[in-house]
Amino acid sequence: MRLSPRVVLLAAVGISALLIALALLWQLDSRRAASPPPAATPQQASSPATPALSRNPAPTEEGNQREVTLFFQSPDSDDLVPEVRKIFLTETITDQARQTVKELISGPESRLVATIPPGTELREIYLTRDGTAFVDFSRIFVDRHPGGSSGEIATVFSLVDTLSFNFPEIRRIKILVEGEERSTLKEHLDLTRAYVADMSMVSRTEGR
Amino acid sequence: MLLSKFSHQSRLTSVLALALFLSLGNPGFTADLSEDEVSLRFQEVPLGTRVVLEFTARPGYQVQKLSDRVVVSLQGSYKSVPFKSKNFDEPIVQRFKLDRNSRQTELLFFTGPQFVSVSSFEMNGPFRLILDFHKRSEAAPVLGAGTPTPAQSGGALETPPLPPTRQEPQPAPEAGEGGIPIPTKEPGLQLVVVDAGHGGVEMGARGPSGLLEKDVTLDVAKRIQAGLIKRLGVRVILTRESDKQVSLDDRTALANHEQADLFLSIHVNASAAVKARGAETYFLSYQATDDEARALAALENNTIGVESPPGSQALGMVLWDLAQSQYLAESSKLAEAIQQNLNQLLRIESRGVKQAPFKVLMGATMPAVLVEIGFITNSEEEDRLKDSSYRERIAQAIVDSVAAFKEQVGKQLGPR
Repeated sequence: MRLSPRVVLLAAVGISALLIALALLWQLDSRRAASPPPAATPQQASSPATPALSRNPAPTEEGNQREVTLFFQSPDSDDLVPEVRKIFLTETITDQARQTVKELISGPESRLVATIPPGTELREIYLTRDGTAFVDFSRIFVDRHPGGSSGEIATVFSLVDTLSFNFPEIRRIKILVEGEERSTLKEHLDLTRAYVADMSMVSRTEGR
Repeated sequence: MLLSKFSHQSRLTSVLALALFLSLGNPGFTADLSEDEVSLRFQEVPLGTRVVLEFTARPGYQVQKLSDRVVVSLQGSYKSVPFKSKNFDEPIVQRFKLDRNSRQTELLFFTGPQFVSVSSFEMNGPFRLILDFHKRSEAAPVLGAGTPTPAQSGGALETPPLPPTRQEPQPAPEAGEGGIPIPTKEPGLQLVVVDAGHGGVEMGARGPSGLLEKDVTLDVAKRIQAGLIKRLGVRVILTRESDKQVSLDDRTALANHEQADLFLSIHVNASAAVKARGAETYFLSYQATDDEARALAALENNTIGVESPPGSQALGMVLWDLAQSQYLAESSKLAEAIQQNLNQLLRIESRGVKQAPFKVLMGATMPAVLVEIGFITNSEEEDRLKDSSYRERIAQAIVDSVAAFKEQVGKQLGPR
């Protein structure tokens, strides 16, 4: 079969365009799993993941782990301060988000202050197609919370900023407790709404 | 749903277009763009100034508010278009400047006297970081027809405009309720509802030695009530007079039903950071709800590349669609007065007026603030809060602030 030089040239341009498009898509969405299936079965967060799927590797991250940035409270101000952790690069964003929230619950490794009451269990995270993450905590999330405007703001925005910062596909976060919507945490912040990130609380002086 | 579809599609096409462009113009297959670019757009919106930062890919970034500027730090070296610095001479954002080295770029927004707070949110397709610089006490846009203009401003920025319902002098509701179908009220500060935070099984925060927030708030609320009656001769209603549970909705409903002129919610703060101390005063924040964010997103997508956004008016309508929205200017004024007095009393300058979407403030149809009088989780402050003379001084500081606020309201209505 003979091909004219013109066809070859066109094909070359087409293929290169495709390759570059793929490369750019990887760069832009390095951590995005292209729309996770709605009925994805949840994986055990603690089990080491199978090697990352071909459509989901982050070029900058090695092996089957990736870094996530957690935001804890500063002991000296109302700022949220970043601390980096590694999680397994599991198949779904939902599962990576689950690991990340569990790390957040485990608290900081440095002198920072935990924002979620110790003993809180993450019951489940659901991610809808429109980018809303429903984060469902156990009762202890409320029962052991210190309350107060500052306390509630630190808790909610540490969670919201952490998930939004690490997972571009999570656009807003709604908190549930024992599977149900709550009016407030402890009579301050409205929890019937979904929250978007507020990075103005994040300090740039420490961490990273 | 529609939105996510749209942005995904537009992102895909732009990526493909970019790829084609690169493959034709650049034989070297360099997928990596050598220099990153951030494009800036400034828009006037009802709440202040909106700055849209558009990127080709999501950057590592942080936003920080300093005393005279807001700093956006980006990981990596970026250049900004259409300018790398600019003087606006505007009262909210005065000047923009870009500082960078090979590893980090700082976008500096120097803020002016009208600036109060900054909030940020993200949008994708292409990635955008949107910064809202909220302005200080100004006429809040009022929804619907007959939008009042700040008529008697007379150059006095200090005077907040009042909602239209307050501007017709009429007999007090008690006086002639029989014949008047719609209750009207006298102008000025007549009735204050003081809300003692928590109560009953909702104990609020607890101090390290066991002091309960609900007990402190009730005591301080009663002291404020006594102080306001004595000092200003106004009516004062408490949302609870004993240790009982009252729902947040009922607290606001009481104030609305009584047509109160002010709603003061008294709380004691708590934090897992046990060193945290000082007072804070809050009024309702503007953070967009889910639906509002979607509308915002749609608007943002529509305004790409357009000089003056045609939808800016609708944007305001969406954002301000809350009962409390018309009163935010006054609420902010009252919050500032209270915070100033409390900082003076406690000799703590580091804390200020804040905004948050607090449930108890949402439905209030009058200026409404929530005061956190100190941190019960700080053992020093807990000790002081046990002292009744200390609680009395706190209450007096708040009464003084309301008196100052009343003076402003009186002035506003005086010429009528």
